[in-house]
Amino acid sequence: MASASIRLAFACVEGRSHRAKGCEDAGGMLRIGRRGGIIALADGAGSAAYAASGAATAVSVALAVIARNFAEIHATPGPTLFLTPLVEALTVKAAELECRLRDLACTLLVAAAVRHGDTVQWLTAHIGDGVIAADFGDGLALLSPPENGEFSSSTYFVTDVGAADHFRLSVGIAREATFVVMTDGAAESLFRRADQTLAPAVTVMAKWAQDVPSRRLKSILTKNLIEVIRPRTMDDASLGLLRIGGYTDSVR
Amino acid sequence: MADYILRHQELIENPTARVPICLVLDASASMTDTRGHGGPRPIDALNDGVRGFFDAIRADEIALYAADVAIVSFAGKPRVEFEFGSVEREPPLIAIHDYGGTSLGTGVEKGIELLTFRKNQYKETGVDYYQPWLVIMTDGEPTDESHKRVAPEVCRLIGEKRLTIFPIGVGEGARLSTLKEFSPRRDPLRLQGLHFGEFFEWLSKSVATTSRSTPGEPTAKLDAEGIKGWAEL
Amino acid sequence: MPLDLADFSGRHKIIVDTSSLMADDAEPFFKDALHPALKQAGSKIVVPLGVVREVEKHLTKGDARKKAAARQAERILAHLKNDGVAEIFGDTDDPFTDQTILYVVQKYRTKCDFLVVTQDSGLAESLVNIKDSAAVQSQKDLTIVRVDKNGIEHWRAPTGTVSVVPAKQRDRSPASTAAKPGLHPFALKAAPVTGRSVPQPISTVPQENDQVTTRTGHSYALGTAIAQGGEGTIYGLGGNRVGKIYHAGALTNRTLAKLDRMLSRPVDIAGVCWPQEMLFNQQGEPIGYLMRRAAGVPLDRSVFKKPLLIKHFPHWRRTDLVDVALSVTRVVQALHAINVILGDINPLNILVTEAKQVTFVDLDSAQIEEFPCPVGMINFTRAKNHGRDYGSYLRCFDDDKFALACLIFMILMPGKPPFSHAGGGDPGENIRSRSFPYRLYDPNERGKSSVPDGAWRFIWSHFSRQIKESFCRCFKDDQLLEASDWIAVLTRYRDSIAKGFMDQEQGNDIFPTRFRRLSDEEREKFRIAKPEETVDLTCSACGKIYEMKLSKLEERQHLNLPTDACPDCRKAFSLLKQDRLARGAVVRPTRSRGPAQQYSPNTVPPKRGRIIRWAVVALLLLVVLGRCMH
Repeated sequence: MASASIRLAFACVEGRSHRAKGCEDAGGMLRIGRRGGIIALADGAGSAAYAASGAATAVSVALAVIARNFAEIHATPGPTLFLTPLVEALTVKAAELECRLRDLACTLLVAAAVRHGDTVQWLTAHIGDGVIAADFGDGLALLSPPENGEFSSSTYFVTDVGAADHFRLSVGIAREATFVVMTDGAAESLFRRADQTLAPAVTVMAKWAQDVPSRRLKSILTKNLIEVIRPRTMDDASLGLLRIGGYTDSVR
Repeated sequence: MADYILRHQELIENPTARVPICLVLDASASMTDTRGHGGPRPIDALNDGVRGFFDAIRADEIALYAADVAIVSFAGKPRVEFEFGSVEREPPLIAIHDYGGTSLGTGVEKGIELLTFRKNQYKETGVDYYQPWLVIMTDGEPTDESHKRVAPEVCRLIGEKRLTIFPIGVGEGARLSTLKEFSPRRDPLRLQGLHFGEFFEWLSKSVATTSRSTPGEPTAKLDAEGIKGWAEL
Repeated sequence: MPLDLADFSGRHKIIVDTSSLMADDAEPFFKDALHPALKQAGSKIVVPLGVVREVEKHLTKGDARKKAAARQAERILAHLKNDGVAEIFGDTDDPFTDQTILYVVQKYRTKCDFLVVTQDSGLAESLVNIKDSAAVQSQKDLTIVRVDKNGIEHWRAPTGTVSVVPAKQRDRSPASTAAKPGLHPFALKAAPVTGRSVPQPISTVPQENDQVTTRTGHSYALGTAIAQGGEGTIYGLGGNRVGKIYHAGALTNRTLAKLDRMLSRPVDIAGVCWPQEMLFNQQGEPIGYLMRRAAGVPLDRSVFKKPLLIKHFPHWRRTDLVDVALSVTRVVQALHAINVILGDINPLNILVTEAKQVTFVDLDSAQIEEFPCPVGMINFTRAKNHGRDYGSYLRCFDDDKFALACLIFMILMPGKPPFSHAGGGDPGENIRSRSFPYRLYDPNERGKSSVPDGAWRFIWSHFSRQIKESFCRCFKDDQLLEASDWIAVLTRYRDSIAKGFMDQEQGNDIFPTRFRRLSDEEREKFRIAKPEETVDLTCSACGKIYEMKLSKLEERQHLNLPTDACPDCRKAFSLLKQDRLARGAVVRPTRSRGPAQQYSPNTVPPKRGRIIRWAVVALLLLVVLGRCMH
């Protein structure tokens, strides 16, 4: 039975900053049957009191929403279908914690892809900093760069009043799709802010998604985060990989 | 690639987020006045303090790459003693200006000018930076009205959260109320005796703390405890 | 080259075991060669009762080949018995046949010549060790042989020997246990000591700073009290010695006699605190005994309670737990080898250190020869002994084997008794109802699982198949494993984890947060359908990655329930919340970390407020756990 090869993996590491608030990055992944998958990462705002909760809630909601509404969002892309349930869930969480909505502030990066016949439908959603890179068969390229505010290290969050204006949604169709998703902490060493270019390492990781089975991918990502990325930044760092391969790939 | 670990050459080195700090220091004749204590002259103590500041920052691996320091001295006119750059260079020796007067306003204005220019350089080269710091130290009353012109501008920048200011009065002769005009939020502090050394040490620690936080946030809470030790309120 | 039976049939005591009776070429040898030789010499072969039992077992259970071999053995036995050339000996409560053979040979080594016939390489090795042991000089012969088509031959392992647990994995040889060579086993008695149990008259019970003396006249001052139990108090004596001083009225004539017996045979086994000398008070009355100091924390105050396990041994992984189970099993094995039956395998009396060194203390309650073990815990007692007064009967090795299996289970599932199940009663009832709730995977089995709530389901799924089978055999089928079998199974499990053959991510976690991921091959093999879509999420409280069904996630969102933390953290928080709400407080979760943060060696120690909050949570968990235990 021909099936697409699907590779899904993510990992999050706590930063070395001395604030000891715990890891405020959150990650999640969902495999859609034999046809596709979703990766989501969220980076809790440093100034948010319950950033970790906000990030984790945002990730779980994002996965559920996209899993159920992928086709619709792909057909008519727009922020509302996505943002509304997200903000609603965060509002409920804020009520539970008796805090303000902005105490749950976080960025959000999502990549999702589903195979239909011999094409792959994909979409990405992005608010704030962090980077999404993609390879649709002709080389890895930057898909969604970080968006920053005045100090170039302040950014936009899902809880911002104007979030809809900074919500960047991309959709498309390809023969195959590989996504590399990272939060700001990892981007520190994988993305050059000055000229918005990706480090060669990102291409290397995209190749891993091609060669290595999902289970091992996760431990490889974790290892690299701990040994290579973490020493070069104070921030929490997360990486996610998603690949829906073409039929010519061997099924694993 | 069989070991699946990223190599150094495959990574990017983004420049460290900078903490731009401009010191605006009073170098008027009154800084030679030991006020009969028989101790060191204020200007000498100040220079010692600056040197100590540089040493302390160099000792912290993160602050070392984050601190971006410039020094302006002033009396009747401002003089740029030290252009913005790393503390790995030799600290300047601040000498008393030959021409008298204490033009606080123009000194601060020069400092702001340097800071603004530096910020633009950051933006062009894509370097992250923290909210800039302006440290003002003066021991007496200003002798002109320039501060009345400059202070509102400074307050506006502070209000828009684009600047943070540390106004310090040195010795009993300093007029804190004048300094207060530059600082709507933070009360000026009076430096006890000549404890420049301790102040600069505290400042360097604050640089270290800031450079460990995530840039752009409401200021990492600076150690207010540390201040109590050296200044009378 | 086959040996000449005539050399042996006259003088030697010939012992025969199950394996040789069931061997392929056995029948002609026993019937045509051995039988006449015995008849001629006028002697008999000795067959342990355990062998007869084993043959009986194989007649009913096992595959066709085994059954045929068992029928052959039965025929041979009947044949020899009817003609008066075979003698069955032994108690109904023999531990296992090999042990009996070893015991008999060791005991009478210097008195008779022996010829032992066995196909089992493990037994043969042990016998060869006894033969070569320099500690026993003997003029008597000990020959070990196996049967083949030519007759009997000196023992050499044939190639391709196969058994359920490969012989080289079995750890039978007494020399390879933690006991020193030349250790004389105690006798196995049939009946407990009779006579009334009378407390010893004691004038004064020594306290701290009082002097006590030994038989040799050596004097010690009692230091500070280290521990206190129902029977007595342990005091430090300086150096690495401690003394157990019995409370007034606790030392009986029986205990005293038992201690004398124990002291007559100095036992030096690693991990065992054996009484070394009797202690006397100033009036010359015996009031206790001296032993070496043991290091560590009792299992019951560490491994068996999750918060304490994490507190004392925060860096332990699953392999460390397996190592502890192995150490415990080795000690039990060594004690069984000298015929000491523990009786009360009590987790309060087993100490463990961070380096996984295990020490058994309070050995004076063990069963030695005719002195029973007067205490026990219902959690570790077989159903058939429930209701009996512990001091009134002699336990058998099987009783210890049951307790050992329970203990191993409770080490691998920290603190969870094996028969505890959803809808169950108190521990005694649970054991009697034989309702062991854990199962091997069977796609045809339907129905609600009665595995208790919590991570236990996950932990069970992460066991190797061999471990699961072993527990099922012990607790469901009542076929208790021997210590050597456990050692083999546990070692293999440990190796599997260490080599990464178990779940890649959570296989070495003490508390996994999801079922073991089956590989695609395993799915194929057991024809398990791919599970419903599941989501992997990070927990905002503990940072761990946990799994949830997509449908459940959606349900939660629909009901506005939180989806930012894993079930464990949610539960912990809700316990905390309930407690706080009951006291009228406003409740918020802390931002602080749970235990075992994997990624940050630089975590700053938490502020006091957080410590207090987590102490409350831990306390509540302890209370909840405590309630579950009763």
